[in-house]
Amino acid sequence: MIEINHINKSFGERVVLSDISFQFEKGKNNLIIGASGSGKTTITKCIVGLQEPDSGEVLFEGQNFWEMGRKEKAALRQNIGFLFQGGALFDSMTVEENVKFALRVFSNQTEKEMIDRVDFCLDRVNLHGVKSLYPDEISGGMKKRVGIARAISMNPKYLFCDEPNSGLDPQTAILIDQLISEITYEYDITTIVITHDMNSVLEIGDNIMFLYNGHKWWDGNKEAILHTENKELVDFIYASKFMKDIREKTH
Amino acid sequence: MKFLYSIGEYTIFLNKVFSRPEKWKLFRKNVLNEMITLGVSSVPIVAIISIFMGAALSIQTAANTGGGIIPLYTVGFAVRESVILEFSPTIVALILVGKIGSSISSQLGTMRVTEQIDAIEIMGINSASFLVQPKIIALVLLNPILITLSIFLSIAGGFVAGVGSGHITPYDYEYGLQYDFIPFHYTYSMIKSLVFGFIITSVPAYFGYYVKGGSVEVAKSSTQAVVQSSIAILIINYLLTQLLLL
Repeated sequence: MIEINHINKSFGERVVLSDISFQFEKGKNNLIIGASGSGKTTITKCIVGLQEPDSGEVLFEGQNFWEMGRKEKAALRQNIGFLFQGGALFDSMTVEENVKFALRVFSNQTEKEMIDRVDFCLDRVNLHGVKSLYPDEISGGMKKRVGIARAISMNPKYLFCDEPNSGLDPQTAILIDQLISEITYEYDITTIVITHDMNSVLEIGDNIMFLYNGHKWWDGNKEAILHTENKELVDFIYASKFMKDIREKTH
Repeated sequence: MKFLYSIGEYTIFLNKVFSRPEKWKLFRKNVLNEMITLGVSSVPIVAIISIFMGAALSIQTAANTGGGIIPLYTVGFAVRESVILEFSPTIVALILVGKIGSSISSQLGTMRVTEQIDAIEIMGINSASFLVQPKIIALVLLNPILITLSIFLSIAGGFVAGVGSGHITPYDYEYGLQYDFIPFHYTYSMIKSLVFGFIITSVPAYFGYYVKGGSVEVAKSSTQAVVQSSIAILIINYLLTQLLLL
């Protein structure tokens, strides 16, 4: 479980995060949703240690990340898998080398054991016959899958996915959502998905935090979000006429 | 003020770069790969520049000593001294900044803006140490060898041009090469090549590592890296000369 308490973050005069507290639960798909510029990426960067909050705590199983020493942070990060929005695959390496990267650095596995693990991870994300290809030779959906395979290669306890559906067609987007969800339940990991895709919210949102102008504005799950009366959340979810019609019908 | 900030940030960057590698076996492998990428692949350009630099030096010296007052062996002497003291270590360093420095800066800059460096950090790996330390070690080790090769090729180029054009006899050239040789001048040259190897890799790496933005910023940082590294080489060249030769 990851818990954040009273997180504040500003860039100069601009307040990006204001007093945010939340619990990301183990074995669940925890979603951070909000409009562009609401602070989703910043709070994620504060949690994984890419940006230091001005104040507040980030607790991994009760241990404050920002009070850990360098070695403790490094050890913790080996338990974090991160799927970047653009994939962030190493473009000078093949798919196999990308997935093998962390194993090569941290594990004492033999070459055969590493290849077996790579095969397992690629198989888990339903990717076959792409091991020897470079990232620029595969499609956007495949890149996301390779990103997930790389993220789970070290059996992480925590999986972060930054807008996993961006740039994907609706069918592939749903497949990626389902894959993230399956992996979360199968390995009982704490998954945090940053998204503004409403399909994802309604598909996999077990535990949702809605950010609005840097504040935590609402939290709940995918059932609760359908019946919320929170004006800003309603405006965010039902921004299109199509979604507004759905809301009217469900009410 | 911005200059002082950059110096401070560069120092912090170097502190991050020179931390213990995650895995020595992998580090050694990365150093060897960088030796091939940065050093061995630079041999052709270093060779071409050195041969023609030595050839031009030889003919220029011969053209200015043709009156009969200055002995002909001065050509060999001047080529040797110019090449060892200045041309090979400094000019080759400036050429390598253009070739290697811009490549390092744009590689790291692209990795930064495409979040590849963040991906390495999140895995618990010190990205500066993992990506930059092998490059610095590789070129610091290889640059003296490249410069030594450059010295030999320049002298050979001077011989072929000077003797081939009939300006000087092989005997005079060879005599000039051996005349009043001070071994410390070679040591001085090697000290410079070690320091320049460090600058050629670390300064562009610093500019690339801290890029913010997109492709335009990557290109700007690459240009800035080459300019700043060249200036640093020229200033340090002067300081080392003042310290070591006087």
